[in-house]
Amino acid sequence: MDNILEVEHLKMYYCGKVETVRAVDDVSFHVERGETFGIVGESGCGKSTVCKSLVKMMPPPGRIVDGSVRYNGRELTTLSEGQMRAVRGGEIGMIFQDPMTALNPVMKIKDQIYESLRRQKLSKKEMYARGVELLRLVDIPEPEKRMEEYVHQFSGGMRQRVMIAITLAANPKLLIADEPTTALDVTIQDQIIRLIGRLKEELGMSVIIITHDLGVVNEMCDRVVVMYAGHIVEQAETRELFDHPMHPYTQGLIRSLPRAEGREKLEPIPGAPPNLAAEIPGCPFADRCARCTPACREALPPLREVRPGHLSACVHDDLEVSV
Amino acid sequence: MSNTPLLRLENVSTRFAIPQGILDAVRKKPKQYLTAVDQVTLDVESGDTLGLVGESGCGKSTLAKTVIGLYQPTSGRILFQGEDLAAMTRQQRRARSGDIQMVFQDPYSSLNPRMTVRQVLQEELRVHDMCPPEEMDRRIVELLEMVGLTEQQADRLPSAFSGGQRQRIGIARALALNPKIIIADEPVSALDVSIQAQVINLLIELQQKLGLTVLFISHDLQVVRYISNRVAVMYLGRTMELGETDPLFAHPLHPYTDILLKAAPRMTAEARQKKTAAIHGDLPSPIHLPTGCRFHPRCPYATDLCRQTEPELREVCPGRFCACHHPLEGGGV
Repeated sequence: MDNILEVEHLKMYYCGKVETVRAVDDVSFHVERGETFGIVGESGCGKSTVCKSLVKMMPPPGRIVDGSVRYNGRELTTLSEGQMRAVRGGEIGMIFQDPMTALNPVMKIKDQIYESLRRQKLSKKEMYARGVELLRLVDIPEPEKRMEEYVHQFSGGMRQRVMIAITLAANPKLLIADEPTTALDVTIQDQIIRLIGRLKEELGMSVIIITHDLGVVNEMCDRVVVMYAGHIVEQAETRELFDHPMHPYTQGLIRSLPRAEGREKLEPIPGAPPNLAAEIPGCPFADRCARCTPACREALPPLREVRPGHLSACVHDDLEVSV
Repeated sequence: MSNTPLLRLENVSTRFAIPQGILDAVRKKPKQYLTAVDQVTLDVESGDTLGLVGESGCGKSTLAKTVIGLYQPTSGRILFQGEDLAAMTRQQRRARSGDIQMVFQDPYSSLNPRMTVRQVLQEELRVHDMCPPEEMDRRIVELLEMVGLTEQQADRLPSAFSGGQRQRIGIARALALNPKIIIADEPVSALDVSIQAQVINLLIELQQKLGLTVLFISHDLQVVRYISNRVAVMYLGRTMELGETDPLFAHPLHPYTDILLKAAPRMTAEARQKKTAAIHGDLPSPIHLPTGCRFHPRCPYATDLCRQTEPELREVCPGRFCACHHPLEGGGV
């Protein structure tokens, strides 16, 4: 199998003075070349932290305690900061949720694009031409005029397009998008989703999408993992996951969303996610799970194959229910 | 009762002046205005849940703030049980304020971080003289239990609560004055889906138990569909479409409603096949509105008529209003 990224037993803890928060606890997954891979979960589940640890951008006191991240067979966790910087500005690109805070308000758009072109040692003229080409690639009208403008002159959707253009300037092979459409209106979100899909095809990239929105996962991703409290609880191909959700948490998530058709009563998941600073011996979802048994609290259930190519971390069998 | 709705908005407009620099003022440049709410007419019957949907900048929150009196409408009348709230003096308005209460979007910034839950509720009950001091504790416990919190939690600060619990506190605060209408401005947008469902179910339960009328504002169409029995779709300050929830979602008449429905990401297998976006282009500037229909630059069906004349909101069939020259036949889907 041809994997662009392999993550094994990754543990990223925030080692504070008072307590240790296990933000990512023993997470393994891989991203195949050319696929769109989704990481979905609610706030605090560790989905953003996973991606920040892939490129070693965790905020202090975050530390990769254990595990390995291999990009094209090359181990990333042991790289120095300088080597890592070359990876981030090169083969792995990132786009963030809020383009307003990710872009520099006092630099012209063109200068921000030039920054990410700098490693390619182009002449001024070539850089300008490439900048215009990139803005055109992300469907920004009148790119020559827009090159001279500042972030505040762009709308939310246009800012996200600029963000994407800047990231693409370095010709990334793997694009990590952290909630790329969350701050946008639905009609604009729809446009950005199609744009990322089109660019992925045109440029032959692999994409990791981090989101809390199951609809976005469905429309963008080939395969998906569901995270809860720092663990992966389920992994499957996207359609398989929605047609046969196997983990009680995934089932609960789907049931707590209003459906397009009909008005069945929403069934929220009771309670709230656990405190990650406390030791949780068993299944992290046990406290909120209707099917919890004493066995659930004894040991962390491992991910196991419950249907072909479909992994779930739950001790119970016969879990398939219609949702 | 049927001919006087509980709340009626008649041609309500809210306009803001754009701040001018000194140079512009010296040069006598004409002042520019942003019309956030533009001649909105709505009826809300007692017991209704009216959903207000639209994208950011469509004026839905400004409309809510105009109704509860945080903004003064530039023109139009806001009739609550037949009385015009906009024409009232401050004192009259204050006496009425308990009848319409608001739940805010952000449960983090809408609660004072230095006041315990008890103090938050006490303050409100005291200011509006709603509760004799000896009854205070009992009433606070009653309010907390109504929203699914316990008496033990009353003396904690907001920081001790999660987002969902804070929103429950916000709801308890809105309920303290026995309101007739609750305006909920994006009450679940800041919450995770599993928590969101808890708060939505709570709102529905309270509405049924207390006979509340709810004005529910959201950008999330599925949430609005779930909770509302009537829906108004807004775009750049105007009502584009208004009607009963189920027919409106099943057969949208206005192209904008249709596009909003198609743009929202869904979990169906068909949604995965979608390759092109439902709509191109951005929202135009609300200061320099397009001529004619304000939606025409983004509308796939726009004609010359749309570019020249602004369509009025008219009743297409009983109870169903649409502001479009060319409403979709049998809906766009």
